[in-house]
Amino acid sequence: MNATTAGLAIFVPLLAAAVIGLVADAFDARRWALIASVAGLLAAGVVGLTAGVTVPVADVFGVFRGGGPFSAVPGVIAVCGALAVMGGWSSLVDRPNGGTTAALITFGAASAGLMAASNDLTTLLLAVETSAVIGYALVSDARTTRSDEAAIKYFIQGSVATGLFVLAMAILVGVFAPTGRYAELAGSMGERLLADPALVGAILMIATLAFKTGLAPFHTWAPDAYETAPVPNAAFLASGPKLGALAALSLFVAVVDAGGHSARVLPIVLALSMVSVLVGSLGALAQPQLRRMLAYAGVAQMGYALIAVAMLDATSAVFFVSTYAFATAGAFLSAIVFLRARPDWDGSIAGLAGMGRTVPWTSAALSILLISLAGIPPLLGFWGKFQVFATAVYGSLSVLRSGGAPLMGWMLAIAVVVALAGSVISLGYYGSVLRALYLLPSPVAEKAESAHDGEAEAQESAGQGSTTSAAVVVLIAALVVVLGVAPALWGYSFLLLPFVAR
Amino acid sequence: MVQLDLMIIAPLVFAAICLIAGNANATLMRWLALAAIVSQAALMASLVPVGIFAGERITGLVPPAGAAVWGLATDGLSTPLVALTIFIGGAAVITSWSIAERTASYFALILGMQAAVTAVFLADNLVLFYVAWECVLVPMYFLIGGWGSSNRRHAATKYLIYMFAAGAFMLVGLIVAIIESGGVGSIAQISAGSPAIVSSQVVFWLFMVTFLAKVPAVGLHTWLPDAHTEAPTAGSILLAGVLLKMGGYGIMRIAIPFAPTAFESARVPLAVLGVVGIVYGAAMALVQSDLKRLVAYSSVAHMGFVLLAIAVATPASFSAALIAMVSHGFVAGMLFFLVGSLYDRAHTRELSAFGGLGASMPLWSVAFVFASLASLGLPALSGFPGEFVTLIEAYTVMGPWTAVAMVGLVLAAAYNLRAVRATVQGPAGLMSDLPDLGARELGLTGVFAVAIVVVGLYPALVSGVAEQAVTALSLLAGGGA
Repeated sequence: MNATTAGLAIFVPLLAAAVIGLVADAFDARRWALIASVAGLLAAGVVGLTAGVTVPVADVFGVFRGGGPFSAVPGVIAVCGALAVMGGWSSLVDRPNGGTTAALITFGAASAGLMAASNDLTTLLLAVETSAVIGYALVSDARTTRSDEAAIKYFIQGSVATGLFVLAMAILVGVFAPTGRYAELAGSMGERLLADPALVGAILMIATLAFKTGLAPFHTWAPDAYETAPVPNAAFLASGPKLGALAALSLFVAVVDAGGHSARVLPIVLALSMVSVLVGSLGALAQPQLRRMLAYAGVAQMGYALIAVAMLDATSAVFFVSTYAFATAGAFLSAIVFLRARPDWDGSIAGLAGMGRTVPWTSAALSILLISLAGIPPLLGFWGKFQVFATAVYGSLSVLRSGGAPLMGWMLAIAVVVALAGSVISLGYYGSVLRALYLLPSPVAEKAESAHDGEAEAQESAGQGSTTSAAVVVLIAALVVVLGVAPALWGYSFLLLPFVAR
Repeated sequence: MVQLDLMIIAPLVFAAICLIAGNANATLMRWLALAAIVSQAALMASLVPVGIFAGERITGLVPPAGAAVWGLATDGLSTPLVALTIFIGGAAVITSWSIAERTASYFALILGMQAAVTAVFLADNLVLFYVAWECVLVPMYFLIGGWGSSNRRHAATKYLIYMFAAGAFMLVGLIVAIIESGGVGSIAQISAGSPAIVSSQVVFWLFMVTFLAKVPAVGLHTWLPDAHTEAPTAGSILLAGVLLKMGGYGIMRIAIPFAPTAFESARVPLAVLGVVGIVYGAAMALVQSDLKRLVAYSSVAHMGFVLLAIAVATPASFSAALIAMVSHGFVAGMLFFLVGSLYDRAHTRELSAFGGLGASMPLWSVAFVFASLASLGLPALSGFPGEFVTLIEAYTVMGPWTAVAMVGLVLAAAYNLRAVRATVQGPAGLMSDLPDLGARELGLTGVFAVAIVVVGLYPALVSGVAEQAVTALSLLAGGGA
């Protein structure tokens, strides 16, 4: 397999599955639309991760890249999409537009994957805009007033981001690289001594991608979108496109560095990181709603990843965000199970009280995913965080020792401190879910006890949740445990393998 | 030797069996948990022929891949604490015999923690050490939060966040240590090449923040009273018995060997911290009205001795630190067990509610008086040798000012005897018609008592094992100079 076949073997199944899904949906064969989507997404995922390990990086038709991380990241995105559709199976099958939703998720996985694989600004623009439009559709898919409002908010803010992108394109293409290719951009940024246009172009582009990644202060659309969108849609939006956008961001920062402008741009990236960690952590702490909390937590998590981006360590960044995406998709999907088990659940964290007993498997799985997201070993999320911190400490030590760029060295050191503080705070908000699940008394059980009748208890046990969703959440948690323990025997570098460019 | 690896894997396997078997049969869960601890003990016993109790360094299996994080070793420093962990783990399981609620999860958590603590004392890989260290947190969080007393949720959350925050310092410290020693992960190798660590002051203090919070040293001790008091009895026994020892062990295993020069310059501040801990912990214990809180604060005082002994840094004082840690494991374990069994009967721990138990609960009273005497450092009991040697060594090496720690000894006598007077003696209190210790409780009390007497009469049982290790350590630390 070479890079071209690898690239085709990822994107063709995705596009084919999306088209088949739409056609099947048009004939009211909703189940077949879902099956086609899952098949396409899984195929792309398997091919992507395999090619990530085995295929060296190369250009595909001069439009995007394949092999190494450029296959692995789209692969992970496709897996997240597959998990969202499989985990949301019961809810998608029930909804009249469920087939369309699955096709949109598949198409969204393709566009998010293309972001991560793009090799020039035009491809990136195409991928980002497609992904944005799909995002708006997936949010408004709930067809409630609140989701419409969130989608419009997302759309308007997204339009501003598009505007910034166009301005960035105008500067970068107009002044530096007529073809828009990254290689040309890096070369001419280095040759021409036009520092200010380069800086403005880079900042505009970083702002656009920061919006897509959901980095503070460009994150305000995310909490509403993730809270009001249907759960499977939110599970995908919070994982796949985030990973794609972050990968694109780290590629672009690498281009700017190759063009010799890193001294002025990297401090900006670090500042974004710190702001995101602080805003995300403190925001998450204040959220009573599970999905809003996860949205803010996602802002903080992307902040950690930015430290690796600023270290020009794309491998660590995408590896870390992959561990995040995987666990977050599962955490969102658990909401389906809880809602089935307790139909009057209002989506709040406190409302999960007592679920640890009534929905034991999903509760245990969600706890594992959240502990992994908090970065407590021996779970997958710990290795992602460990890698990011190791990179950052290494970077700040070597920068400070060499005496080269003291600003950068100190900013890195401060960013590490902020990130560590953020991850301590994360125990507060992730811990509040564990507390609700296991330590708080169940309101239903209390009611039953005080009323001395078994009616409430019977109602509680009537809804056993959705088995497919529960199975997917448990599967993700099991993988998070296995991949977290495996480094004991093989070292954790094998986890990074698919993301290393060869 | 594969036995070291199995000592960690065995409790995990039993924990998995507990979870799979479910809550069907509580008795089965108890026996499974006990079997796990017994299997650990048997594995340790099987290493006697290769000299584990002669202080030999024994390594675990090395995984085939070079980058692996797994790597175990034991030597004179680890062995006594591993043995203590197994002893205390067994005591915790037997204490929990009456737990009837969610027994499968309960014992799975106890066994998970047992595996993690064992891994802390056996880890030869720095990353594994950190992983094991943090793995202790979540089971203890659920044990306190799920089975603790009235204020358990607050105490559990505080414990988790406090300890995770403290651990973050070590995470940075270990990354710097690994980077500066050229990417080596083995604790022994990093120690051997410690001059390679350029930022040794930074590394030392990053590790020390984590370790001092665990010991705990005064100032970083505020998590302890809540966690110890609210935890279920077995949780308190594990916390005081082995979890605090992780701090002292970490200082001796990692902080000193990695950064001997930084330690050299930090000895006096650490000794001051130790002395303040001795006096402060004892003084706080003196004014508690809650019996369990009293025992919790006495832990601060006893661990202050450990810190002082480490700061003195002579072979004898390092041995004394180890003896004091083992002894405190037994004594605090026994005290928490007795207080827990009293609480099970009376459902209160207020000192004022008791009195005259000597008449109604003679067996409990004898045991409590015995444990209190061990706690105040009566000669011939295990509390004496460690603290006595510490004081002598500190006086000769650090100077006469360390005699301030004697105040702590006087206070120790005061608070222990106050507790005895308020419970065992005097007129019958509100709680006077309580049943005495049962056969199971009596058996466990007896085992604790025998251990306390044996270590008290023959402390060389611990120091003999540690001799080589502490001599090497004190050479490194330049102590006694």
